[in-house]
Amino acid sequence: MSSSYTNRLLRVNLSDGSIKIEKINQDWQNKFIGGRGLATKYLVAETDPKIDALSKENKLIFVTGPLTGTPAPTGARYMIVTKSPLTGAVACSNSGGYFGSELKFAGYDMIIFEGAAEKPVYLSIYNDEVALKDASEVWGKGVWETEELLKSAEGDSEAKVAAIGPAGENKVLFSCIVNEKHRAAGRSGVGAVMGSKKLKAVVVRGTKGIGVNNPTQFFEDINRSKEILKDSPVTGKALPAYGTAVLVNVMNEYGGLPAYNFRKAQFENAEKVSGETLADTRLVANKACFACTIACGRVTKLPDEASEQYIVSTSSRNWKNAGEGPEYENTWAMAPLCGVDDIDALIKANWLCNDLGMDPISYGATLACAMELYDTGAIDEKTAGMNLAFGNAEALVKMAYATGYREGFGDYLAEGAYRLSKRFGHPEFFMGVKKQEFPAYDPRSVQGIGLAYATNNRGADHLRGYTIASEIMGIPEKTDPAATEGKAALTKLFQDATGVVDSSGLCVFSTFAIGLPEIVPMINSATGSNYSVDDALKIGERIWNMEHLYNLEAGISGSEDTLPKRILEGKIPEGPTKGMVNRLSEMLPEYYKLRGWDSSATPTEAKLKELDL
Amino acid sequence: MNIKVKFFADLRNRFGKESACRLPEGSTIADLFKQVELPEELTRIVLVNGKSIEGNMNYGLCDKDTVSIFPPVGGG
Repeated sequence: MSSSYTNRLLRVNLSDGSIKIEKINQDWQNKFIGGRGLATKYLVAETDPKIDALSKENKLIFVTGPLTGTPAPTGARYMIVTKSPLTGAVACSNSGGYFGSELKFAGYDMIIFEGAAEKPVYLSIYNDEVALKDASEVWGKGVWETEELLKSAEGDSEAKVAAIGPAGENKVLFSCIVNEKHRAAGRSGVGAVMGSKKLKAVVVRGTKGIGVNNPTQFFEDINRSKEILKDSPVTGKALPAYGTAVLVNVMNEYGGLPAYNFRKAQFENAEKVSGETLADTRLVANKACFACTIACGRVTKLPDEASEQYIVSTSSRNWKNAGEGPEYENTWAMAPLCGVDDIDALIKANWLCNDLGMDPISYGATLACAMELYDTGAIDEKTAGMNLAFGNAEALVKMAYATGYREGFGDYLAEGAYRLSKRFGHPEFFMGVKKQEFPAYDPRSVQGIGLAYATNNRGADHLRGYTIASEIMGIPEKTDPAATEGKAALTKLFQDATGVVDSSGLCVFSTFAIGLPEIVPMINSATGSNYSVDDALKIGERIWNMEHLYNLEAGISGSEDTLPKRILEGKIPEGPTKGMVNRLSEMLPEYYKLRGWDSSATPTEAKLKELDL
Repeated sequence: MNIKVKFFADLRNRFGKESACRLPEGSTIADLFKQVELPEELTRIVLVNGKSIEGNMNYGLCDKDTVSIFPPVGGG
């Protein structure tokens, strides 16, 4: 039976160098669809949640979904599933570009890396020819140069490369894995796991193509979705024109754009780093991932005079004055949160994060935490090695480099804001959940997203329950951001539905226009399965509970489903949301009840039976 | 009364970044839209002094209010 699954996985043991092709467990595939769900099932089955994330006992899984590499709109995504060194929780980081589709074209749904190599290696895949090769020539180099050198070494300019930079090699706890130079599996430090295994990169080239089960039905299904995406003012107009950073002004006007490490919920110079300003002054073109009809990516260029500012002593290749981004999250973390209003410094720091292989959200948030330590006198210029006052654009750029290489004070920043704030005696300055830094929406101003942050299986994060869509944008229906009523159900629905989208291989941005009634038929006609929307939501709930059980076994209890004191008690000092706090206690008990969990966040026997876990 | 109106994203192509409007006492968001000739269907988020009107076009305006108007937007 033809299907968009390849039904094959590559198992690569880095300790003994063995490479095997295995058939994917069909029962697990049916129960978890693919992608995030399926890979997490393998992680759960094959590893102990209590292991050290940077030990050779951890596994690093690259996984695609059934729609990855098909013409289904936004079918570009691949995910990295592993145990996170930042949070100690399950990690699943998601990236677009062209790497995931290429892996499918080579004939694999998944790669499981186990063990650790003694010397730097990269995995070379050309269809059925798979080999581990020496990476000592590129170890120490940035992502961009690594990509070019490995394509050259493989003699194939069409190969796709996913690599770590110096940050991953140096086990920066929020380092990421970057493909096509600017697309990243960004959060939770998956790059450090790859670095701990001495795996520099995966280079893949595939020429096999992908089948679908029912081509006539499949093209009807995807064309319907494409029409909806084209006609939507969000996915057909706003995102292509302004990228995700169009939200800077939205959140700022509302009073939900955290600034100065969450001391404020508005930034006085937001306009200077907004999506509109980027589009007017630095944007060259928009750019799409594989099969994407939205094209929210930003190709940006700095003026010549700006490219000479804040030079750091890294490869000159970093400072060609064209690159990609920044997106909304990166913009927020490295500009308003640090009080920086210099768009060129922001663009540079963003490119530097991409080249070093480092999550710009956690980097910016950790620097903001350091700036608060500096502002309050907990650290001084001698300790930090430079002036870390809020608003210092030079510090934003230079500390990115220092962090990636763990040089000087950068060695402390490389541990993330949780550990940094504790080291210097102010744990209350850590703004995040489960040791991971918050993303760009103030949970005091927007109640539901606070619940989503607190209960997120991978620590503070917006992409596993993006209630902002409803609370701010009115998608699919508008809810009041200041209200707590109904937010438990809203959060659970978004969390479960996102599990399905991630597992399918589509981009979560598709859901600004289409929903499970469009996505599930595409999965069915591509694979020959026969899921209903309710079946899919049940799978999403199963994935959520499986991840949660992993965390409980790893020692992360329900007591960590909370928010920092500043968010629960420290009122927003000024602006339209003045006086607001997050009222988590009004939402969390109802959320647990809807989840079928007891008051300590343990799933009941009945719930586990219902979900076949 | 005097109202400050701020436009965002592609609304700026047609209406500019900011405009000052004079409206009679008791005017609503619907009156403001009529005066600036802004069709409601082009907008999704309307804030008055940062507070969402939650789709209520009869929301009453006061002197010196700031109205922020966005088209449908998304991001992540």
